[in-house]
Amino acid sequence: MRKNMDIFLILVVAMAGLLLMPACRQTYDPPAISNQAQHLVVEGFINNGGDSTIITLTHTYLLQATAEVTPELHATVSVEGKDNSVLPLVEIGKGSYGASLGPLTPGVPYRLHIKTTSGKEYLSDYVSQKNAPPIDSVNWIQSDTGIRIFVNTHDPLNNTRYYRWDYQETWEFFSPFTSDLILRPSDTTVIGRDSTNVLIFHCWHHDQSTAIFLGSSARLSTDLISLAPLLTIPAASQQISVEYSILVRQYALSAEAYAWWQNLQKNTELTGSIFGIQPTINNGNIHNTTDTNDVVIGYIGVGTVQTKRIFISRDQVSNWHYLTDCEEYSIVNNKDSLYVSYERGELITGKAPYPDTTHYYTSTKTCVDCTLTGSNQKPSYWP
Amino acid sequence: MRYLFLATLLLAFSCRALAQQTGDLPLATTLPRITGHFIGFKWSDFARQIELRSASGTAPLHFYYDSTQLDSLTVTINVQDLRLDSLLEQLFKATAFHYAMDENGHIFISKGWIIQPSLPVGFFGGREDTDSHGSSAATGNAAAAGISMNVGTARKGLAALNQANRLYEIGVRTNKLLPGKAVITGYVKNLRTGEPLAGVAISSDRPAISTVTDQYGYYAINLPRGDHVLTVQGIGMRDTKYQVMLYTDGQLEINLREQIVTLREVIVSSVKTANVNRVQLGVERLNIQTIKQVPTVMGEADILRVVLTLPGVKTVGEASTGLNVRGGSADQNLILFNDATIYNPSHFFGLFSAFNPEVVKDVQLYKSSIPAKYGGRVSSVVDISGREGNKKEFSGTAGIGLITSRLTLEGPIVKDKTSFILGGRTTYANWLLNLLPDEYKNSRGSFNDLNLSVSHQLNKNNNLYFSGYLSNDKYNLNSDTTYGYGNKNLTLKWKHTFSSKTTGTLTTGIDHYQYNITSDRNPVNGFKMNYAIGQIYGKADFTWYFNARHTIEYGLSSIRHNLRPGSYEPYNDQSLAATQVIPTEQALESAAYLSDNYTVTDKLAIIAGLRYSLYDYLGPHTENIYAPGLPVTEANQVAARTYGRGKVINTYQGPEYRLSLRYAFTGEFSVKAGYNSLRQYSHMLSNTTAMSPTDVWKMSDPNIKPQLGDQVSLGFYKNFKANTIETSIEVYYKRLKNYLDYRSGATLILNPTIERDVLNSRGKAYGVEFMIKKQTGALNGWISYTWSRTFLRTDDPTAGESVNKGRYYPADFDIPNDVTMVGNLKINHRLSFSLNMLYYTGRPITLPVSRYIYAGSERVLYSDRNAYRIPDYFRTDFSMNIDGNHKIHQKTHNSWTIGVYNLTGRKNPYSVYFVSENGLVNGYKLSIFGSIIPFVNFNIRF
Repeated sequence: MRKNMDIFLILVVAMAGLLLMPACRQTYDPPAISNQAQHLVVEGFINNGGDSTIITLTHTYLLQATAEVTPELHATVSVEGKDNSVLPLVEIGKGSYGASLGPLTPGVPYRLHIKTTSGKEYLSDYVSQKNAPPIDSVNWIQSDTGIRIFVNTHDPLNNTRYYRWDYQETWEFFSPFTSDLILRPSDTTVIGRDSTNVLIFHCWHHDQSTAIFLGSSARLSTDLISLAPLLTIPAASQQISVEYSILVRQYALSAEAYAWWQNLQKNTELTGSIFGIQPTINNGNIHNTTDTNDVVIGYIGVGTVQTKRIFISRDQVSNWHYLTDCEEYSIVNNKDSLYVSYERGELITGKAPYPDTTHYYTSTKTCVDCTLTGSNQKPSYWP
Repeated sequence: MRYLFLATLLLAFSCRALAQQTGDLPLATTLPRITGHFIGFKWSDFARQIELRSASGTAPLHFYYDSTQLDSLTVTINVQDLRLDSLLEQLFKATAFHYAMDENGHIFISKGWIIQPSLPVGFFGGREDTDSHGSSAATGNAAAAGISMNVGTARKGLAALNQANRLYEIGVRTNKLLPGKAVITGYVKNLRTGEPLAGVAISSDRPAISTVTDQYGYYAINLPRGDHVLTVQGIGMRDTKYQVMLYTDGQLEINLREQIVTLREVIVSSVKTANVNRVQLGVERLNIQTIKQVPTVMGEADILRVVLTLPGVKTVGEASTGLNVRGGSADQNLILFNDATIYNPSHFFGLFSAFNPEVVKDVQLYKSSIPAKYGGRVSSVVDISGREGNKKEFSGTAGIGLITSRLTLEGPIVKDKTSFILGGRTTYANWLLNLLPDEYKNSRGSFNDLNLSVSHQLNKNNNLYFSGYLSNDKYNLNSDTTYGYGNKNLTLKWKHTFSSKTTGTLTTGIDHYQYNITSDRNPVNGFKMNYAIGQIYGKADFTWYFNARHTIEYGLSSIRHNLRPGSYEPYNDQSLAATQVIPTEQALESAAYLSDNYTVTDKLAIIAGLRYSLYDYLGPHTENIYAPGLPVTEANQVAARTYGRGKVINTYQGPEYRLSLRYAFTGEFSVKAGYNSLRQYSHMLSNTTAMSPTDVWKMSDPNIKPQLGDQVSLGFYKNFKANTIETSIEVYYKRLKNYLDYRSGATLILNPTIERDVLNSRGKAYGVEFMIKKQTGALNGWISYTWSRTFLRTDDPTAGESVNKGRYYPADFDIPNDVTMVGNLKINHRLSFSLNMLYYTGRPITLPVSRYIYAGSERVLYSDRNAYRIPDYFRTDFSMNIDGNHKIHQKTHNSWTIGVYNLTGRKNPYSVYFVSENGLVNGYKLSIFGSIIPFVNFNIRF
């Protein structure tokens, strides 16, 4: 439970949710709008710690399904200190620009300076450094609906008050079926798979948070965040079929930054309330230096990030009956049938009977090849 | 009915008693001679005086008369040594009364015919009846037969007790009609229940003058002295005519019979001309019978939902009972229930209105000409009158519907003097919540409301009324977050008739609304949040029926506002929640008004009203002072000044004009024009489209100016088919000032410096409303079409922030086209069908124009506010009302209502929204009642 001013909003939204149940919800296609200007989107954080500062420049794009995000390439991006220091960032690609900047000069406010190839120039406001206090713990509770994960922190100096979190998830999993055989399409012949070099059975899935997680202790007598909810791992899901890990990153926010993030959350995640909250204009702290009407999306913060990683393994949870809908199909051992199966994207999982194979067993690619949804590289932090 | 019959019988008996008096006229010489100065004596007192004076003499006199005939007769005569027969002669000259005497000193007063104290000679076959000791108790067939020849016609008329055949003499009788006019006053009541009837029209045909009873059933009509036929008409009541002879100011009690108790009666409706004759514009009255006929969701008769079908009244959607009247916002309506201000008129977050239909008499909506006695809100007044209990006998109703059960009890405490009505509703809506997903399975929701009204007649000139209202809503989400809200209202009224020309009402009461949110899910964060708004008020309203041309209304009112704008406290000892209490707010809002209803000619009438309101924002309070001409921000705060208890922090005041004019070209066609200005000193802070129970109110203070509104309107009214079909066209243009909007991301709850988060807006609204209405007959209802627009504009040069760059933009409730049909067809007295059809343009909405990626997910960027619209709305509802049989002498009467809400099952969008889910943007169209919803309701009356 967030414990801040928007607690009421959440309650209202939750109760609205109650009422909406007998109601009905259909997908809605908005009217086509094509003459919409593209706006610059600036995302990132000036990192005072050991990690790199990464700033990503992209553009807004149309609502039509065919529209896609485009990066701002070859821009000149730098971080400028109020002490006239200039710390350039280098282009990494796909609109990202980065450098390792920390530690920054204590007490100096910094800003972001962007010059695009089209000659537009953008500056953020000078932002004071706000370093996050360490995360006390990340803990979890198992309930009928799954596993709820919470974060706890506090600032003994009572200075932080406003927090934001994001996270990266990693989980170990196995493909439901093994495969030692593979169809060579050139002559439709089943051959043995190179199972020492091509590992498709044991993988790690990586995911990152897609929602905004905010917390505030502004209404409490001490700067303490208790059981701020992050996510719920759905019951019996693949996430804890073997072992699961979450890395929580904690940012400290200024009151203004918190308000901006909160508005972003209200405008894009907490919509649909029965009372109909109007979207609000949400101006960030980055501006076009010449055109004040140019909308720039993003809010730049400066400070350190605190992280905490926890692991949850299958034997720590109860009744985790992970089942897939993967099944094996029996394919008659002739070239036509095998080719049709191959064209359908199936992989061979076995053969029968022995020694004269009359049938092969196959299954959908994703049920066999875990690299399609994960990586077969064991992460360095994995136990 | 039974009473009438009994009365008729009594009359017949008294006739019989009179009939058997026999004998010759007493010797004139034995009659007493009277000297006296009688002024304004009731006939009965006068007769007693004469009887007393003669009692000591040789021939004691006794008067025999029908007191119902003579109760309105007053004796004013100055006599000097005049013999009684001459006196009576003089007294009854030029009246319908006659007197007769027998030799035993019995004097019979009759009306319309002459009593012959002796039978004609030879009546009984030549034998003379010489019974000289007839007494009123003795009866005899022969005597009865004898008199019947004379009274025959009269009896027939009396048996029907048709008031039209009875002449009511009003005032102090004078031998000669005085020139000029006089006032008839009195109450109109329901004959069966004794309940006063409001909105009943009393009109005289020649000259055409009419008046309407007020909410207490009181009326006053100013007519030229002389004889008149008064036509009395109330909806649902039988039209009645009264023959009156008006001498001087006097009283006339009118009892009306209900129309429904009779079967197969041909209803002849004549002058239903209220809409044409009324001077005001934009006034709609709905009685509860009409409201109950209109099918609503889940079959709950819903007062505000029916008000919403009237032209000029809009709402942002099905989940809101917030009324937007002619471009006004939901907080700009003064919602009165028996004079009590109801801050939140809804249950279940706005799905149902908070008024129990069983205790409501009618609803009056003022959307244009707002009488000067009302103030404090800039858009409209919704005046809901509760019923008074049955003054004759105990009765009650009970009902079962899908959402609520209701029980109403009423009856006399002292018969014909004091009555009560007690109504309660409770819900069992938990079954609705059981349809929810598992994570809400411990949720509970409920609401209830309770009404009690007591009315007491101290005497003819003094009436007392008490009314209490209590509503409660409570929700328990997953058994750790409780949420509750409720209204509490008490009203005490004293209505006093000073004279036949002046009446006054003294009203005092307390209104209160509160909500609370409690959370104890996480002991560290557990909190209790409370909010309350209340007012204590007193007002005195007077009506002075100055003469036939002028009715003056004047009065004073004062409201003491008390707000506790929020407190936030730890739930228990474990909680670290820091207590925050927003300082209380106090204000005193006073007003005086004067209004003249001036009938210039039969055709032209004017109501000119002036209300002057004075508002003081009071301490204790610390007021932030900001640099003038700069945005109201923390940086621009220059000082803070603390004021002590009761100290005036600042004052706002100003006049409000209420002007309307009617010119009746004919009795069936009139044109009206009006101008109204209003001031509102309280603001509801809400940045949601629909009203929410957690919306808070803010009083005007040095940084937040009062809302101002004014409106000009013009209307054309024409009736057809003997006034059974009413049509009207009304056009209006309205302006609003100092309407509050909010900065981006403003926090409205628990914000001690709310002035930094508001933006002043200006509004304009205009439109035209067409309406065709048929109130009577087997087929009744109305069809209306409204075209209207409402625009707002941020009007705050120093704000540094504006909505849509300070341009006019359509308000959330800007619904240009609106077609409504409400119809009811009575097949017979036990079966009727109702059908609603509604179509309106979709409301404006802010839609996204593009997407972007941020914080791991696609998100949307919004367009200008309200630049798009949700799809149009169309709905049809149907219901069938089945009454049990109409036999009067059965213990209970029951009725069923079966119906279907949203007959076509159209998925009418309530809102359209975009949400980022699992990294992607999804657009949804949300319908509140997006399917066919059948309902059934059972009611029992006992």
